[in-house]
Amino acid sequence: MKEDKLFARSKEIRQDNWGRLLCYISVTILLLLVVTIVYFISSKGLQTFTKNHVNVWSFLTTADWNTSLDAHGHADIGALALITTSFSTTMLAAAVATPLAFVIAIYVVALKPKFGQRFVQPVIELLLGIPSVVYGFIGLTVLVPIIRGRFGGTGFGILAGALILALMILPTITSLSIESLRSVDPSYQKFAYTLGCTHWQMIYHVMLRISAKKLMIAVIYGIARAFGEALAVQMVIGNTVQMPTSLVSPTATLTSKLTTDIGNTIDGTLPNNALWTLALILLLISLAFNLIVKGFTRGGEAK
Amino acid sequence: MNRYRNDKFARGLIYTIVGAIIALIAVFIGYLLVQGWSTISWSFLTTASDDGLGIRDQLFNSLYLLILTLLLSFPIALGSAIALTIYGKKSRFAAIAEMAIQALSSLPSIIIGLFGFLLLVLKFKIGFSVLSGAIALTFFNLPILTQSISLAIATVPEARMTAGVSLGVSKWHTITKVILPEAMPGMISGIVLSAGRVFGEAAALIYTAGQSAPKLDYLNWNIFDANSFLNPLRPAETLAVHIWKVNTEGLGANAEAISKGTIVILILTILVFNLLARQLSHRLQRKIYR
Amino acid sequence: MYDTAETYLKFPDLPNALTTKDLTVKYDETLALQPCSAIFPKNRITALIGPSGSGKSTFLRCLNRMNDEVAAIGGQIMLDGININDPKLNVYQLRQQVGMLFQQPNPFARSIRFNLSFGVLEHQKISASDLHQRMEQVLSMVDLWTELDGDLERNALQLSGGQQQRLCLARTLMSMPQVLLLDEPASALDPISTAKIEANLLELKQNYTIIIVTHNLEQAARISDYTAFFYDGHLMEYDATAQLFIKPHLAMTDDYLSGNFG
Repeated sequence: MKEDKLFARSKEIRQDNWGRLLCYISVTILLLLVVTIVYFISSKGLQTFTKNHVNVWSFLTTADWNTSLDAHGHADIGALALITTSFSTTMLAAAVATPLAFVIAIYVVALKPKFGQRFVQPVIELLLGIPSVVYGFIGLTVLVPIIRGRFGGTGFGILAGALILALMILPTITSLSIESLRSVDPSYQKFAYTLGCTHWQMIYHVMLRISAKKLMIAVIYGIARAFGEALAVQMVIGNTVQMPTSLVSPTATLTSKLTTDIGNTIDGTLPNNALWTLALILLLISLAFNLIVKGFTRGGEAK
Repeated sequence: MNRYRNDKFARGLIYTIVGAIIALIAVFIGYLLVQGWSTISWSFLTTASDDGLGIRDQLFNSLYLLILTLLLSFPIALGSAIALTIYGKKSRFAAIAEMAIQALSSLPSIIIGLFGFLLLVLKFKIGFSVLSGAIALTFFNLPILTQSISLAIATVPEARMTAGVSLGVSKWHTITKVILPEAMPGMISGIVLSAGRVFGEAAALIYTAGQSAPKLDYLNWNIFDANSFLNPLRPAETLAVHIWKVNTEGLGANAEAISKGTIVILILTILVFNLLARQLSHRLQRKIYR
Repeated sequence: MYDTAETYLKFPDLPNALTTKDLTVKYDETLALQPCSAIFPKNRITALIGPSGSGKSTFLRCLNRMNDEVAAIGGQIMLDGININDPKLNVYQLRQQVGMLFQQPNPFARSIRFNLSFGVLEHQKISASDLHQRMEQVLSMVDLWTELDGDLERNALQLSGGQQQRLCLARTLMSMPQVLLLDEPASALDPISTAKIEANLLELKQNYTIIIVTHNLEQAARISDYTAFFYDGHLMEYDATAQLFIKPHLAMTDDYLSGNFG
């Protein structure tokens, strides 16, 4: 037979080599991107400690954002206020949004699946796509004046930030929760009903129990999104670096401080380096959220 | 019968809460649309912001950046998705790459923006420009797009690949001529949805594409001229950045009117993207399985 | 457990299409196929039978190099005097010579025309009229041409399972292979569709060498000329089908055929 043909190089071999090469180049670009982001931000962010000799511990545990140097060339710069505000705003937002998101998810999946899927879910998806500046604008023009009228002060602060973030992450948590409740095997539900459970008992004892882990992941995703949100928060938080004394006193988060100041400081100076350190903290916390989700997913698989 | 009372109570409570939230959302979106509607006029869309309220250049910048971003990110995302779901399927390399992509997609967009600023504006000295903005948006878009294209490809049964390969066709041509056409509906809706996100993104842009919109000349096709609309090296403020900018700089009475009008345009565009994604994927699906 | 040391292999003295010599398959560290030497006579149907996990499907998939990416294949496979288990071999060319049909029908989600022409157009320049003629020819071989009224534009997924499988069979015939490998081609089909496929195969054996893996012993008895019995990665017995089914040499084969295990 055509022995030469069976051993000839053909265009198929060439196609597969090129195709594979192109695809692997693409992935390599993606991987390089991740590595470069981490490297650039870390090398910039660590300069505060290596070049400006700021003490790491005091940076993390003091609250004064004081970028001027004292007589010995040392600075008293601390990010504690920013970190505290970031966490408290985020947690408050999650505390407000989570129960509401669960309720909507239960409604859509277990109570009114038809109406929920046709009407409620598209609305949630639309909300998911609304840009964060729009939320920020609503906060600035509607929410802040209301808070000002009700509680006095400027109206800017953790409360305004948290409520806007709650509105923003509500669709995130809701759509993920809908997904996880849907993934509960319907045969469990039928089984619960044959045992004489009421609708609510089935939802509470069967659906929520089974999908508890996935619901948890949905909440963490929401928290991560809230934590990293910059512009919407920056528009309503007040942008004054100080330990929050109440829910309605102006303060600043990691992201809002970065947004406001990174363009107003000179590259290579302490005020600028300290901002990059904030970026590094933000990066590390985001990666930590990612790891937590990973841990939860893995735990779910093992079970 | 306590449990029946509980059941009734719980359900009633859920209906009430959902009703209230839906009403709130309706008020929220209605408020935005009604408030902004009065600002929108032909001149609002066709004059430059230097001359008054107009958002002509911001609108163009948003679309220009969107197109460049999709052109840059689609090939890389497609290639990565193929590598992860087909060539490297179940390999250790793919597992690591997938983890990296997940990490990338979980990064806040401000971090992407700052990284873009550091790399493109400071290091490569491209300046606040269309190009910097498009590259930063590509960084932002890549992980999401890769994930949605991977999902679309994964819905195509593995049997297609076995069939193609058993006929002596190369994997590459089986992918490009059989698997990708079949994954098209899912890919398109993934692309359109990501386009919506890119269109509304601001945090990744304020320090890359910049916060100013020089008045553009739409008849100047010389891409090297500073006022040419195609020039990739000029600053390019987008709609979303514009909203942020006018509100944080306190431009007084006009700021609210401009923002409200711009928001209506933004929301309508994103609504169109969402509907388009749905329609396109339905239609293509029907065409293929006809 | 049975003793796998004693085998009974009686190969016919006929022109052969395909032979293997000490063919082995290794997944990671486990040897899924022990050194296996067999002969497949030309223009005959040979059935591979044996319990699940006996290695028969693994063996079959080696014959057109479909196992390359998942396992290490040792030994020789000779097709017309050429060792096709050579790493330098062009597997794309090989697969046009050795076609394969799978357990589940796997047509492309496109028109019948696309299904039939895809592979051919990838490999050769062919005029539209020749292509059409060949499509009519292969569809006739599997009795689909009249069933479809010559309509090539219908989506393959609209066909019934049996029609899909026959379309896939026609698809492999488009490249005019010498050998057809069938991996339980009828196990997902109803009895009527199965009968149609079997009738097609009996027609096709005049021009093709067919190797079929099947769990259906009646099917093996009905259509095959020779039968190979696999057990635990070993080729245990090979004989003319009539001989093997009526009077198997090994007690193990006898037990399997009488349904005592497997």
